[in-house]
Amino acid sequence: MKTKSILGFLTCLALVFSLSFAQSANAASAEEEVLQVLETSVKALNTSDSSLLSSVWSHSPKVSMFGPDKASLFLTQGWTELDKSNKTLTNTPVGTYNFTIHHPQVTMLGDNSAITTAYLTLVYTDSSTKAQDISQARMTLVYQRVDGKWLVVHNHSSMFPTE
Amino acid sequence: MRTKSILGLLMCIALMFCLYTVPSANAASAEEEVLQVITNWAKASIASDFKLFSSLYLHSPKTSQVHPSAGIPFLYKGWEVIEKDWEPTFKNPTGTVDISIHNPDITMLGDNAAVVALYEIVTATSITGEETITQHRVTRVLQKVDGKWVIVHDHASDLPLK
Repeated sequence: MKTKSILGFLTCLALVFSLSFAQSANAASAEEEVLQVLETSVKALNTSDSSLLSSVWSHSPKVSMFGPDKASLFLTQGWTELDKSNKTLTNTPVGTYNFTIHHPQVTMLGDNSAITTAYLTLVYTDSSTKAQDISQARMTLVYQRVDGKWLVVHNHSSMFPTE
Repeated sequence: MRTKSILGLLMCIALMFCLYTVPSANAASAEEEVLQVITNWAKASIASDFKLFSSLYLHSPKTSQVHPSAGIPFLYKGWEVIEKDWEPTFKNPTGTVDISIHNPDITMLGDNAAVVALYEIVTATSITGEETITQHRVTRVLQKVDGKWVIVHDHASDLPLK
């Protein structure tokens, strides 16, 4: 009887441990998935791959972006406008824009929303003169999980303030 | 018998109508609650009310903030860090501030919400009274925690000049 009780207790303990481990493993994997989306979006920009960039965004009329420069609208809103804006970057020869992400951080907001923050350096190379310009920006991306897939719903990118 | 059937049918329709309208009423109310937090942020800043300001944020290490000012870390991470940065400004204001919020747009993401808006901030120093006007693009991400909407992330930036 005593042996049975101990066995039962140990089984319960193992079950609790497994459940707790599975939960943290899931959380880690969700963070990794979100980070992967961030990395994919940067890869798409660096390789001028508009379809790859399109695949990480939600195509909803509610998506929005604060761009880093004056060329963008105050607020680009809706997938149709955002796609146009994205294509001004991806319709350039590969190597025109080179983004590097620094210190990316993922914050999970429940099971279906997340944000990432990162510091970016951007090297712009003029395709004809090969002249280069370097700028630094801060970027916040907001994500939503739709049908099991993490998609970007908002981007706020701003140049690093200098004064 | 026929009257009973018609009555039954009407009751079913009324029930379906009620079920249909209740979720949309809740959704509208969630947006209103989120907007209230956004409005209260401006109220707290104008009145230098740190208690109100503090109540609008999630007091967690995951709360973060990207500032429009230069010469500071690119990201403040954790409520304690944010509090340390803002509290002196509220406790010892160097002048007055007025904030108007333009075109707030809310995207509901279940128990989270993202708000974008243009903030116009007029500051006046108490010594000279000189006024400065700045415009910021602001993203705030909110989360509903224990039935209350709180800010978990801010990103404010100047309007781009080039």
